[in-house]
Amino acid sequence: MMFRGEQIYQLMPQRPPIVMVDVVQSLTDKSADTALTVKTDNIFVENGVLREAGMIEHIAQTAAIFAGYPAFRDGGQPRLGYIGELRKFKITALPRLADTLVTHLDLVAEAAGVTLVEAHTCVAGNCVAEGQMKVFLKDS
Amino acid sequence: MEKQELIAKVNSVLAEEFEVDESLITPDANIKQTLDLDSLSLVDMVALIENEFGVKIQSNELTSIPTFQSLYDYLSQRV
Amino acid sequence: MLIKNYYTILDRRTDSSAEVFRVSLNKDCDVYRGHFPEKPVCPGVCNMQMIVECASLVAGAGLRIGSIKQCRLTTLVTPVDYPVVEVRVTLLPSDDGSYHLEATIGQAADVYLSLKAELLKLDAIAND
Repeated sequence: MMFRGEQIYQLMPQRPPIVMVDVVQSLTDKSADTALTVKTDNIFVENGVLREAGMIEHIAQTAAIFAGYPAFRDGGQPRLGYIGELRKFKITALPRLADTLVTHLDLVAEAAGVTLVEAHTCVAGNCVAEGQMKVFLKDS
Repeated sequence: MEKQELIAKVNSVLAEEFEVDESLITPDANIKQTLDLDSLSLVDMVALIENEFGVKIQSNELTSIPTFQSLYDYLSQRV
Repeated sequence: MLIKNYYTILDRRTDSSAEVFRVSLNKDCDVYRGHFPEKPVCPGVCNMQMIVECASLVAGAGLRIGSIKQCRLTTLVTPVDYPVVEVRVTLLPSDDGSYHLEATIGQAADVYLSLKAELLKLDAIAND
């Protein structure tokens, strides 16, 4: 495991109450693996269920961490990753309190400063969300 | 892959992905204008080409591939 | 409302096939404490959730996103620079009980966020 809890603050500018990644399991220049455990204080929880906005933000922050990591690894400031587009997203189920979302993300392609990634999220081995995102970097 | 076959495949996959009529894809037509590509959707074309033909167009090479003819030539040297 | 006092609906009108909600974005919402410190920027997902909530009012039932064909975030929206925006919702019920949604957030002709999605009834999910 690479980063946990407040260590993740080095990788992205988001802070509570909207930090939706609590473990960065691995990061390479082609992929990222992260996790999030749904807690009662999660602002996207409603009636004991994590709403889709929280799931998408979790994947978006995974994508932003992935896109901004090279700059951090090379000793610079992590660059701010903005989500420009979501496509072919499917949300099959809403996780419940205490569930842990486990997300795997792969680089698909890059062009003209835009990074296209594909990610899927599972809870206890069942896929609950998957889709494509485009991230572009801005100096934070 | 024989050149004519390559051209036919390029035209059909691009027409389908970007929802344009295949008749609009002519050799001298500009790719970005014909497929209505902007900075966000350009990467979809790069991903599609890599997925369908196994050829990875580098970001800096994109400016040298303005028309469909230049794309056919680029691919035929690499497929 | 999922994100407490994120926005307030000022008024609602029908404009051909779309329902248009004029909403004010509240710069004092707690979400801006972390998005981002000293620089409030609307989280794209919170604006998507605002669309879903407006769509739920149109449908008269709690809805959630089932799938997203495309969501484009073309303008960086902040509650300071864009205190009031319009949410345009076009909702077409499908025969399987889901809804086809086409929506935008913007002002007049300017579109900041566009969303094409399939929405599902929320309670149908909660007890599965």
